[in-house]
Amino acid sequence: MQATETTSVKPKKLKRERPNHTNYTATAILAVLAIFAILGPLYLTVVIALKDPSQMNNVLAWPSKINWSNFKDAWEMTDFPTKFLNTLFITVVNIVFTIITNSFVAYAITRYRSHSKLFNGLYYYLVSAMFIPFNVIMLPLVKQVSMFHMDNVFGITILYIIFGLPMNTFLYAGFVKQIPIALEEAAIMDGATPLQVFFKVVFPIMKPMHATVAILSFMWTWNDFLMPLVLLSNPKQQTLQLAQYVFQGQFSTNYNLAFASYMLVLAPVLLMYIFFQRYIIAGVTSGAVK
Amino acid sequence: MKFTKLLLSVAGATALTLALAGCGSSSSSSGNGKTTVQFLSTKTENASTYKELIKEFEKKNPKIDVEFSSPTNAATLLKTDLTKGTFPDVVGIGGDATFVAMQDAKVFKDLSKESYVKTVDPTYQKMITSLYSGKGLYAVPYATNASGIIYNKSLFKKAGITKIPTTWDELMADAKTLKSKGITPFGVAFKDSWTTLSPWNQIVGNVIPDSWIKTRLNNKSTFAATHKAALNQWLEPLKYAQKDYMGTSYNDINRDFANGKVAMIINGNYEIPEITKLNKDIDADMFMFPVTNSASDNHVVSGIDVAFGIYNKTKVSSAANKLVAFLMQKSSAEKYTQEQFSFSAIDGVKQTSKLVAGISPEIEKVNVKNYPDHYYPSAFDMSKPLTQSALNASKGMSASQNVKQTLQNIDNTFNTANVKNK
Amino acid sequence: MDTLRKRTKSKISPTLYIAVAPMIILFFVFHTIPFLRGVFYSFTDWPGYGAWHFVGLRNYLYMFSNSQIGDAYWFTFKFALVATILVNLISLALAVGLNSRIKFQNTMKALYFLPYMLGTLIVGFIFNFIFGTLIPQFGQALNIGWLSSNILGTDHAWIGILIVTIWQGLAFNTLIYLSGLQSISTEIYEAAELDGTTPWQKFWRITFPLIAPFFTINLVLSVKGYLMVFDQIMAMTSGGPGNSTTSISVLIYTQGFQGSQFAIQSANAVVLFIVVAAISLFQLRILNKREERLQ
Repeated sequence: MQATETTSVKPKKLKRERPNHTNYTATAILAVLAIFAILGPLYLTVVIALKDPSQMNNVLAWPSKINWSNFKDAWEMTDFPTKFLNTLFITVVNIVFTIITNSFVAYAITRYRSHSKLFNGLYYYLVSAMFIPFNVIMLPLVKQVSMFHMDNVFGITILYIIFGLPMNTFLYAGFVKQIPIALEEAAIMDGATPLQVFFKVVFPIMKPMHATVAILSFMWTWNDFLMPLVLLSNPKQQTLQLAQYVFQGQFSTNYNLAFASYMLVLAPVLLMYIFFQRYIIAGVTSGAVK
Repeated sequence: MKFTKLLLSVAGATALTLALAGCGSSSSSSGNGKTTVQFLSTKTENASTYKELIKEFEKKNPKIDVEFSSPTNAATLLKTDLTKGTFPDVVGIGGDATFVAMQDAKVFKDLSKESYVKTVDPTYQKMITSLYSGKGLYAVPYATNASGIIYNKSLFKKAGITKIPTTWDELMADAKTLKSKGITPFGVAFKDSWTTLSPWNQIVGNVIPDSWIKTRLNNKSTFAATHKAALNQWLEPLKYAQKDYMGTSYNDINRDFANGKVAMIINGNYEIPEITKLNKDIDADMFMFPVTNSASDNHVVSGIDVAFGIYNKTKVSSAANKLVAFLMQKSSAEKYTQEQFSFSAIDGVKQTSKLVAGISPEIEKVNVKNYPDHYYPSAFDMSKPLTQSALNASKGMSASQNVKQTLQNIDNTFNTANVKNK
Repeated sequence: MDTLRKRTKSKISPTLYIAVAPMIILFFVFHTIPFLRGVFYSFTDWPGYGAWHFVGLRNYLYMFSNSQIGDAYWFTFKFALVATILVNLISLALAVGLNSRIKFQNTMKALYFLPYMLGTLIVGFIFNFIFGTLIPQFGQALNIGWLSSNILGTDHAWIGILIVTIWQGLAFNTLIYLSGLQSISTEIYEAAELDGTTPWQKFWRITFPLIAPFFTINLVLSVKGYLMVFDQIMAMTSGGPGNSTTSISVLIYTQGFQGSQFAIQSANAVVLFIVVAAISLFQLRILNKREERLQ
């Protein structure tokens, strides 16, 4: 999105910010730091996951014989397929429904705020709910969710869609304000109903913000630990993150098995990041800055 | 436009699968005619034994599917379940504070009329029934544990120690000998705060009268006035522990012990399967923690390690009962006892392993004491002040100051937890 | 245009209300009602199951007398403050570095953002191994005393938590500062250079005021996030040694369920809400004012 403009300008004497020549000192410092601090722990994870316990004397060395069986054992032990499908289901359904429902609510409320006291009130209601962290409602929520038999994958997915509403309303609201109203008015003149106006005219325009919301929702649901921890006690319903915690005791001293299991959880995210890194960064940036 | 259509169709498709899947999977009997029994164990050490037993059970009962879990931090998860009003169908739980809280919440079924109860030693039944008022047996005892000291026989031999210590002074003298030979006497794993409780329970169980806790609960006594010697004694082995005992986890110390790096661990028989997993040929045994200086006054602190409870609102009560009955069978109990180095509550199932040979006779003689911490209020977590105290010691705080400060801390935390919520 | 706007104004189609209603009702049922119930429970002695009674303000008074809760607040505030300051300082420095003319700029940017993608719990487990096994091994091999023990088993355990938090928190904040820096046109600097400003002055007088809105976002999000710290603690210390790394969130979870203090921790949650809301509002006001002054 943001191409780094390399403005070629007249010769300068004292420039720290954008000198014409490459700043090798900064490059070196940043590269070394990235390799040690960011890649180091990841390298460690991979190496340990590939070893067997007898090769742990020199932890950091690359294994002489690669031991894939850790992955197989971790796969079976944590019932990875079930947990993966649960997490995938939560993530995908949450993204799709969050985009459809939250964008509509945010649009309706923002657009008609000045015409309707109710919508104006709802706007403040939702935005002020951002100040209520999950931990505050956690205890009573656990009680209530089980009353509705929502302590399962489906229930938690619905909760994610609902709980994203304040933040997403805030994000979409900023975007809606920038959409010229003339487009909608033209559609209304043509006799479109408000829902048609939204889905045919506004919804496609919101695409950049959909991307942002999708990425933020993905990050939230894939990596969330606390909500599954308190809501999903049935092993068949658990998510990947929660499974890592639940099996911590059973991994016991077998770090190799544990790290292989962590790798299995990290890998999908890492793969996705490698391919969509530019869009992800752009999406997160525009979400926070807009 | 395409994007919108794509999204809407995905939404439609997921809504459909949601509706379809919603019918089947959330109910307890799944679509294929099988009954699912949820079975939760509060211990992680015995997971592999359970898994094998369950496989056998499922083979014999093809219509029953057992969903087993043994989560980290099971006590908290079970309490969360209580709040939710859902509960596993069968629970394998220790006779501890968690069980007492569950029993308070009345989640268990009375099992006293079940046929498998007849095989259970009455002494062990009493250990469970003594935890609550009222009649009935709400969890059937399965295995008991034995606290004590797990020691590495070869390291003892290497240091020239031929006789197992039977008094406190002998134990400390042996620790000194080991240390002088360059062997770490005690392996301590206080990064996992629950391991602070085992030595505490063994000391307090032996030196503080059982009835004392009642006076404390009525605020007629304090820890500060009565537990000074006990806490001093609790701190003593730390002087002979490995260096980083606050940063060492339970798993780490098991590995160190399995590799012959430490000579003794003060904990219980439940730790042995973890050690044998790492070194199945280890030359180790257990002996009673000699808390006092009079050999004949020392007792093993022992309690119910596993008891089975059945949820009183379970929808699959006959299948759940079948599972418990299967686990209670002699053959299952024998397998469990053998693999877990535990002591069976079931008549006629003997523990013969040489890895606990030093402590088995005491259990058979019933030379045992209860765990004192099972009678503390459930909101009171003794392991926190104890870990703090060990941390103070590791920083070099003088014992007298540490003891004073810790006992005060214990009394304060105890008081704030000792609120009658009735 | 004006007449059209009036037309839309005069009639909001009822379908809009109907279409918005389900989400709002769901939100009310699963967010607002639990919140209100939490407030309600905080005035009772409910243990999470069974019978209950009203106890007035007893739970709130108990909070003040309980050293464990006091310690949790102290730890959480200390942690949030230090983490916010360090994360923002370091990420600002990183952003300035990444914004200078370096090689492989996009790759570097992607690398520094990577930790944001990883689940905090698993990052915590990985660092647990680094602190517990890897660093002590190095420390012993090199004979450095303070490195040879697990920091998570000392009084400084909170620093271990802090390091993990910074490691992960830098990613997002750096990205935000970077996009702020990239929005500044180079001409402004060139003009400044003609006036002969030093780099330091340039940063404080030009760069900083221009990225002030980004600073606001980062600060508000950081403080709010770090006051809720949970995952990394559960992964690394479970609140120990003693209570030294028990944050408010960890306390609400462990004591609220495990410790049978459902009602007391409900009161704690209410207080936490007031604290978070007050801090966020206060921050927004102060920072908005400063932003205005700077611009």
